[in-house]
Amino acid sequence: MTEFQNQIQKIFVDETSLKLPLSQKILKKLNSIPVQVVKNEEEVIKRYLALKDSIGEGKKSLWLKSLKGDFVKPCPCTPYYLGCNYYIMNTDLNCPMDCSYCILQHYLDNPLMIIHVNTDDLWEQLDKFLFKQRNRFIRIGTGELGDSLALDPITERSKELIAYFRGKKRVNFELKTKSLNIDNIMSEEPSENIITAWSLNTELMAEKEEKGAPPVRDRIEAAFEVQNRGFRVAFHFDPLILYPGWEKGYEAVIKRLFSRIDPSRIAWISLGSLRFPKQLKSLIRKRFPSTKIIYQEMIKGIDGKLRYFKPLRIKLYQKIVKAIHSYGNEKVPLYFCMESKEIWKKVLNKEPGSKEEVEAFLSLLPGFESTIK
Amino acid sequence: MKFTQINIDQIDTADKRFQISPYFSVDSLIPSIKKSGLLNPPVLTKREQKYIIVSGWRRITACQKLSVPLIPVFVMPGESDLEAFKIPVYENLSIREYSQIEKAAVIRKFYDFGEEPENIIKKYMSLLKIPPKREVMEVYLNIDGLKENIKKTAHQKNWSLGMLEIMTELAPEEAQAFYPFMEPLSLNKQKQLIENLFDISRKQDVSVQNLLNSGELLRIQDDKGLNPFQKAEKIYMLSKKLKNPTFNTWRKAFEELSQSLDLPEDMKVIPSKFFEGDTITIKLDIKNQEELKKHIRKLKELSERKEISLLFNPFSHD
Repeated sequence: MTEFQNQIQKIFVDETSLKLPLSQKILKKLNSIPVQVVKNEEEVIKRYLALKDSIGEGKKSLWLKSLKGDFVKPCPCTPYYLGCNYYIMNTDLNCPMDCSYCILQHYLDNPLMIIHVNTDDLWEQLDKFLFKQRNRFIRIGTGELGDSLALDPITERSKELIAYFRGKKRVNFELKTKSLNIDNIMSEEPSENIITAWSLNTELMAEKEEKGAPPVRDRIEAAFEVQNRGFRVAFHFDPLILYPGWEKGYEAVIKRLFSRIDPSRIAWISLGSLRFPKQLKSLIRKRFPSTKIIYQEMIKGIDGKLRYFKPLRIKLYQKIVKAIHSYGNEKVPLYFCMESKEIWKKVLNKEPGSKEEVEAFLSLLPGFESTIK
Repeated sequence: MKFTQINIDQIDTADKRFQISPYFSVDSLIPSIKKSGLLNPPVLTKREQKYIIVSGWRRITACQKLSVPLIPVFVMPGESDLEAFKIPVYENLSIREYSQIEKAAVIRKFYDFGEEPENIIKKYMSLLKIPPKREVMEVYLNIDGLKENIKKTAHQKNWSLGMLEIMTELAPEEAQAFYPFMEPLSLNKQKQLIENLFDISRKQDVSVQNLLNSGELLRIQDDKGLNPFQKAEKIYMLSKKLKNPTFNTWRKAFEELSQSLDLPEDMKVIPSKFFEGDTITIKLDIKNQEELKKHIRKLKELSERKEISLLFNPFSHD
């Protein structure tokens, strides 16, 4: 288990959320940590923004609050590239790990780790959302603006989510993590539509660029256990990073992955190469002065984000796909996160016409044929 | 504040503690003072029995140039430096935009005059239209510490925060090393040159001065046949190639292929930006119907040629 709760030094609770059951549960579990009841949100945020490393400091504090808007939103993806029609659930925001490339450093205005504690609203909203979308497949997950399991030992949210989604056949629910916090999942009965996914990288990149995250081999071991429990698993090679020795590094991880994981129980593997808005580059330089990943050959993509020059991306993807096919098999559903149709065609020899087609392809249960050409 | 008239020689212009920018010109002010006199009195205060300028450096410098003996002034009571400094900050804010260098000077002075960092961030950075974050305040403090020649160019060319941020991350010798190649370039090229050299040096783990003192970059500097402008342009071009070698190879291959097509002058083949899209653009300049017909014939002929397919992929990666 990854004990991220040990790094929490302070808890903030919105006055109006103090009495909610999830707040009470967390406060009881972390009863030795100082608590401040928040009346003025802006004051807290401003105080943190005035700290020398507001992002790093924010990872030591937890904020229990109620989400006033929508829990479920379409994944923002990126303009002009092909999406996968994914839905995100913003149950928790931010993450205790500190990856150099993390987009959340730029994306979130509030540097603290937020747990949205108004779970009754979550279930109500989910009911309405799924009813509205009852005639289609849905892929939905909590790991977009935070890590799905990093704080799970204190929230135990995964148990409730698994219970909620179990048996909803048209919904694939994904918990996405880099952590090893699988105890709550292991205590639940498996269901085909509940998928636990791990973000993977090479051991070297994990060590250098994913501060606080466990080694990749441990993540694969956690996936092995979850798979053995009867759940399906998924993996995200994202961001794939070019560095001297990347070919051997990724091959070694893929080899290890398929030495432990049954390919037929992999729901999907996504591939995405390093990309970020230009404004994040200076932040990365400052917060991670020894990193070199931002100095590779990058161009401004159609969406305005910096990404590797296309021929380099194609080479990178082709190597990874070849390794997956060779150590695993060709049936594992692969897809790209934020890539062009041209890349799909050149690397996977697939031509999805739309994000809906990608979604349908990934939502198939084992044994069904894809409709993508 | 007391209104009075004083002899201009009584002002100690060596004390620049409240000066936000030394980069000003009085040329446009002189005719106005000549015609109507000094209409807006500067603000002074007394330190160790001497009058020093709180606000109005341009006005006083212009009067000095015109040898105006007596000038109208406001004299502030003996408030703290911190309180006095708020006068020029707010006064300037009401009449113009600050450059990044001036913003850095304002933040540095508030900091040195003892203002709490939290107050600088919350109160003054928002006023200066700067994101109210501690990290950003630190960047501006570092910008103020850059060498004078760099700050002057940055102020005059209105460098962006991003460019200045990189300059602060360079060792002073590194910043000075490529400064001579900056001056002749346009703002956009200056920006790219800074970013390219910084990225290459960090990727290769060498300092910018070592990078400039080696290989082709050194040969350009040593080339006696080139003037400073040509050297700067060549160094800029080379920095682009070194930063993006694969892209550069593609661009060159595309250019060679399009040249081999022997297109008429008013027909151009253009790749997508950074080859990121999967299309190419064929641009035609047409004056009349006859030209259109001529181009259509040419396009038909081109469509049969093998080289056209290569334009979509100058180096096959299939």
